[in-house]
Amino acid sequence: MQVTVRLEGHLREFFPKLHEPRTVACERPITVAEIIEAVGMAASLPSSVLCNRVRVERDHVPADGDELVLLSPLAGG
Amino acid sequence: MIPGYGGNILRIDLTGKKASASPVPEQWKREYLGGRGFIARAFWDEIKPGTDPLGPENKVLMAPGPYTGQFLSSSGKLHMGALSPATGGYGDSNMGGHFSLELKQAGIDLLILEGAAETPVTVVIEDGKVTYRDASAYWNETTFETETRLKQELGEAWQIMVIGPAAANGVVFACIQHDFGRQAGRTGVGTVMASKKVKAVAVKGTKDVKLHDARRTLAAGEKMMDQVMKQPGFTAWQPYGTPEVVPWASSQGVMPTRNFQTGVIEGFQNLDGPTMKAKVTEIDKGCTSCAIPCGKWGKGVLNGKEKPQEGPEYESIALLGSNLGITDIQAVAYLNGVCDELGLDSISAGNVVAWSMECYEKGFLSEEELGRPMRFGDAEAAVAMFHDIAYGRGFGRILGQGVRAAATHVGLGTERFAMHVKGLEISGYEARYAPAMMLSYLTCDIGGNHSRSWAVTFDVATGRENFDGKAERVIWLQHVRPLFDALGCCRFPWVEAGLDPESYVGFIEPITGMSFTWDELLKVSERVWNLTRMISCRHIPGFGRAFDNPPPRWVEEGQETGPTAGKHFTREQVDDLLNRYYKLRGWTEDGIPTPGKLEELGLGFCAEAACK
Repeated sequence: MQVTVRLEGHLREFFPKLHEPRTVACERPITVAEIIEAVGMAASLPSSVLCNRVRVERDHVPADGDELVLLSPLAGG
Repeated sequence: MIPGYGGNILRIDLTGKKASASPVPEQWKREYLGGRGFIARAFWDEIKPGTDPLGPENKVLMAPGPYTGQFLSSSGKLHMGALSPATGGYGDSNMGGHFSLELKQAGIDLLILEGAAETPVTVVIEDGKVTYRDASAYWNETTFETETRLKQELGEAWQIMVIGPAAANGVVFACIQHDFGRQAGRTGVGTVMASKKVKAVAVKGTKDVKLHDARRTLAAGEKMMDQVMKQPGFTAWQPYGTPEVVPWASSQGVMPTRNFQTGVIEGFQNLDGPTMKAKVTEIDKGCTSCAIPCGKWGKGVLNGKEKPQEGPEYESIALLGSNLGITDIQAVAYLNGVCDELGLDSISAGNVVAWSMECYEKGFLSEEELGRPMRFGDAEAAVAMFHDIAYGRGFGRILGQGVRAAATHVGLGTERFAMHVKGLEISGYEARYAPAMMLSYLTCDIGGNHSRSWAVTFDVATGRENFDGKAERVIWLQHVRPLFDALGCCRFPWVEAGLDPESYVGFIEPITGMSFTWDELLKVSERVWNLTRMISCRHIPGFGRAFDNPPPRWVEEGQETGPTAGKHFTREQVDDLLNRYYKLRGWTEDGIPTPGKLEELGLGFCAEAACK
């Protein structure tokens, strides 16, 4: 199965290799936390995660073809 | 004349009740852009060394920017400055709302309030013409009462800013309010306005602002609006606003709790965005031409009493919630409403009251001295103390001079946990084990504030124990983030919704006809940063490294709980951070811009004023 991972905000600056959306391939369904770690980031770093634009928790298991958006914490306007 | 500007500096001498207009120097537009840039440049010329922050020689400066109101999203920011009564050095603050555009449409790029009226006045500006109204009858009114009164007297078309009783009674962290909840909160700009006996400023402008290329400006603005509203970040956080960050802040140990004794609070879920939306928020509220209204209007509730208010924002939740040991969002909203109506900066107010609570719980101050028991978690005690501060009663009069002054007054070692930098109370991020964030606070030009550089995520992403790259990141942020303040627009489309900051370059030429690259814009920001450093150098005797100093708590004790429990950096490590920062900036080891650096930035006129 494949899940697309996209970063928003400051996270794109910290992980320039992930500036463009990355497709993560996995042999079995895995959690959001595992997918975040698979792209090289601590699972706790994003403030929120959206799956197909709906907020999900770190233990959510995406389906094949889903898009995850990892949001950077707000940054004090 | 370079387009995209209102065109004039309006100078109002309150002593003689005289007003005069003069054109903004064209060179200023190229070298300082507007907003914060104009404030800093005018500050240097207008406010002389030796000025008493509360004397008639101090001035209140207000400036929109070239982007203000020009179709692009979130362009309703107004920047203000004055010699700070809280720090004695460069002070500024900004606020959203609708005042900024109205001022620009009145033909004004820089408003200077100078001198002092004999009796309280409301200054009324209509298309640049100035009149005065007697404000004696409502000098001590709350902000909401006066803004309502003036809206009724003048009409809805007028934009109004007001001060509250805190400013009138000399609290050094009093703010200026506009639009029933937008605050220029930091560094006591409201206090300086009160020292001039100005209760309110009302403005109405009907002039067109000429643009270099209106069609391209409109097209670029429409494209940006569309981009912002399609950003995933927009849909995620807009319903909640800045309280969205509460769970993350607590989980990372950066949410100030019980006067920064720790950075994690049990029950943080009761303070987060969804809870606030369910229990407090009634309607979204935005600024001029904003696609992402982040303001949340609703009611605070405390023991059955209700208080209409805007917010609270994350910073207010941190300082009035976790930092006071309170985890009831309705109570926090109530406290926020109290601060807003009294005209208190909720960050500084929460900070000083938290300090008084720690003093009480540790036996440094008694119930008799404080007027009541001050325990963490007691929202009613906080409400009572906010009123004592605003009206100058009892120990509130001491707290109203800021946490540095209060701790100096009490002594007994309470200075160790007085949480300020340069005399400005630290805002909503616990940073003792977050080197880039700590460096951000230490080197912020107004004192302990987060808005110039917010670097906690960078610390977490790159390793809290790692110092490499931290000074570079802080400097980059200190150039990018204040650039928005010079342009007259809000950072949220970038930092919250996720737009590329470099996309803002595309507006400058259609609006003004001036061409800048991204790097050239950052150079303007660096110029302003060095200028504000020199302003504090000029006004504060002995200014330098010793003022870029963390509160002792941050270098002597670890947090009680959380992911970084027990950890902190040493003074030697903090010195290492500052050494790296000064070297990269081209400053001396004492943190002073060198003559060569000033010349490079076109600030040669500052060189002779370097700290002696």
